[in-house]
This record gives sequence, structure tokens and C-alpha cells, in this order.
Amino acid sequence: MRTVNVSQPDVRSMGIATTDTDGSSIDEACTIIPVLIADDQKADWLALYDPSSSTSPLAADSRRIARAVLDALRLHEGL
Amino acid sequence: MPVAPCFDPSSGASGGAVPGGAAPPNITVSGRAKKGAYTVTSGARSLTISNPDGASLSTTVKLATDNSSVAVTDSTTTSPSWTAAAGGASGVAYEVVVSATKDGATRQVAFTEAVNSTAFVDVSPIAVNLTDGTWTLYDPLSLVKSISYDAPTQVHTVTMNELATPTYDQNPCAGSTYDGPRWYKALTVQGTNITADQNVSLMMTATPTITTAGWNQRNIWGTTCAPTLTNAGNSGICGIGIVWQAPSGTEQGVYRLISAYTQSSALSVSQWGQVSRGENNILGTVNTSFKSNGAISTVAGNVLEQPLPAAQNDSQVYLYCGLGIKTNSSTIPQDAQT
Repeated sequence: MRTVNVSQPDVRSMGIATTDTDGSSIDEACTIIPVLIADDQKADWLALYDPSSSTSPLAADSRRIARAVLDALRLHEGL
Repeated sequence: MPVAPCFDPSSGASGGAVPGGAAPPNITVSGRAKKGAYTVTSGARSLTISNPDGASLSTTVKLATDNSSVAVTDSTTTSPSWTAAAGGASGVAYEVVVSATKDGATRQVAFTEAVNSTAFVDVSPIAVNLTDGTWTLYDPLSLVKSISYDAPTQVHTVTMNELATPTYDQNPCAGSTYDGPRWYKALTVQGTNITADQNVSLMMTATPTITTAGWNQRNIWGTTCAPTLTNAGNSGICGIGIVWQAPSGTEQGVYRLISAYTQSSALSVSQWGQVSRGENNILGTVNTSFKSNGAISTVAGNVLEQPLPAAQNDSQVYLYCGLGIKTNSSTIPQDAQT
């Protein structure tokens, strides 16, 4: 089963000036959430995603990533 | 009959006439005075003794901490020698006594030789003076009008020319170009040039002193192998170090490549950072910012095993200080200062 983990102790808020995946600049106060994908699952995850398809990845797969990230954010915010 | 002393225990000096006997012989030790204290380097030590009266000589060396004797080669000649140990954690001191005896009278020259500690403690930082002639300013947009340095306070004041139409290119931590001004010099350690393949750990401190700078600034201080490149990122300037930004300089943290990681605290008045780089990689940075009472206000850090572009492999590492803007809308008024 494909899983996604978050290193919760490393979640932190700070100002970040960096570059997004599309090359655009980011410069604002942010929360860093380290998402962990095991090496032996990288190929599986990449196979799920077709950047040219607006319906990719599937909702069920997307939700695994989204829930991991949002659970980490909730915990970081004390919710 | 009163007996006159020929050795004064309060001073360590000796000599003088033996009661009813001969005057003590004359000796001098090159570069050494009686009761002198000298700092020497570890390793081979030797003395050159002048013995005009042809007295019998004896040189003894003892370790001050435990009074143990150190082997002296040719101890009865005018050129005795021994080996001084490395300073170690606490440093070492030797008590050296050169004695000359003739006709029952003795004269001594006693002094101390110390080897400094080699421990990595209580190391004094090197104050940076960008105006001392060793730094080169690269300023393609001519944004620096002038710079002054006040030695007693170690404060630089930079007066800027106007930047009316800013872009991200003047931001050292955004976009793909950084064409802001930067001062740079080759990094050397005790005269040895440091190259990108060597592992180095560099500690640095900075204290923003203008409580409200004339513009929304982002300044960086750190290392690079390509100080005059304007293409930022992995193909270009490839810097790593500490950053302070915002008008008051209270947003502090680290940068690497073209990214900055900062923490904001209005209480931050100074910062301490450490850069690790080597093996032709940019590695890690940490930053700790402090309040005026010395307590910690914020921390920030970033680690990255980032290979340098091939052209920079094994090349000279430079220190550099770059000035810039925080956002692409940060104009710099004429004569603004930081």
C-alpha cells in the first residue's frame, strides 16, 4: 500500500524566500511540512501521476497526501 | 660574619659575589632575559648562550604544571635544545634555567616559555572591515554610493544610490538572477587558500545596527565560489550563509543558493551562524538570533547536500557580503543607509 508520512517534529513556521516547482518566486511567512515518501514507493507514486491530465492523480491517491499534510498542519496549529 | 645571599628566592635572580670568593661568571642568553616570559611554538626549541668566562654550563627545563624534567640535548653546551609539546587543551609552560658556574660562583638566567593552547575554545572572531582594502566590491548596477567603517564599534554604514525600478534580480534570495552589490575576498585560513573540495566550518556573527533602514532590505553574508556571477542558483553564485532582512533587520536566518529561511522576532538584535561546506558541495547552515539581554530569540537552519556546478569544483572559496531588497517592489531611496 502506498503511504505518505510527515516528519512532525520538523514542522515549523518561518519566513521563506524560495522558488516554486514552476519557477515562480515565493517570499512569505510559511509553515514547512516535510513530506516523506519512502524510496521504495517513489516509482509507484510517480506512476500514478500524469501532469498532462487534469484528473490525475485520482482523488483517493491525492487524499492520502492531502490528509497527511493537513493532519500535520492541524497538529502544528494545536487543533 | 654576615652572609650575603647569592640567590634571591623572591625574584628568582641569582648571582653576586660568593662571600669571600670569586665573582659569578657572566652569561647571556640570546633573546632571553632573566625572569622573562615568552610564547613559543611547539616543537624543536634551542638556545644560544654566550659564555665569555668559560664557565661550566647547565640548562634545565621543567614543565611548570608538575615540575617534571624535560630532556635537554647538549645541556652543558652553549646550544642546548629540547622539544616543546603541543599546547593541548590548556597550553603548556616550561621553566627554563641556564646556570653558569665557575670557581664556586654561579649565575643563573631563568625564564618561562609557554606554548599557547590549541584547543578550539575561546576563539576570537576576526572583525570584518569591508573598507580595509582586502575586499573587492562588485556592483553592476552601481547601487553603492559609499561605505564607511567605524573601527571602535566595528560598524559599517552603506549609503545607497536610488533603485527606482526594483526587480527580483536585486533580491539575493529569489528568482534566477542576483545583480545587487557584493563585497568579496578569497577565504584563507592562516595563509592557506580554501578551495571548494576542502571541508570547512565557518562561524559568523552579524548585528544589524540601523533600526529602520531606508528600504525593505535583504542582506546576506556567507560564502561562494563565484562572487561575480549574477546568475543565482546552482549554476551560478551558489552561496550559503546567514541573512538579515526587513527594514529593521530583525528577520534573521540562513540562505543557501537562492533561498532564504528566516525567523522574525522584533527582539532579535544580533545573530550567530555557522556554515558547513566542502567536498564540492554546499552543505548546511544554522542561525541563532539573540535578544539584547543575550537570550535566544529565534533559530533557523537549512541543510542541503547540493553539489556545486562542475566549473566550481576545487575552486577558490570566497567570503562575501551582499546587499539587496526583500521583495520586487522594494525601492531604495537615494542616500538610504544600512
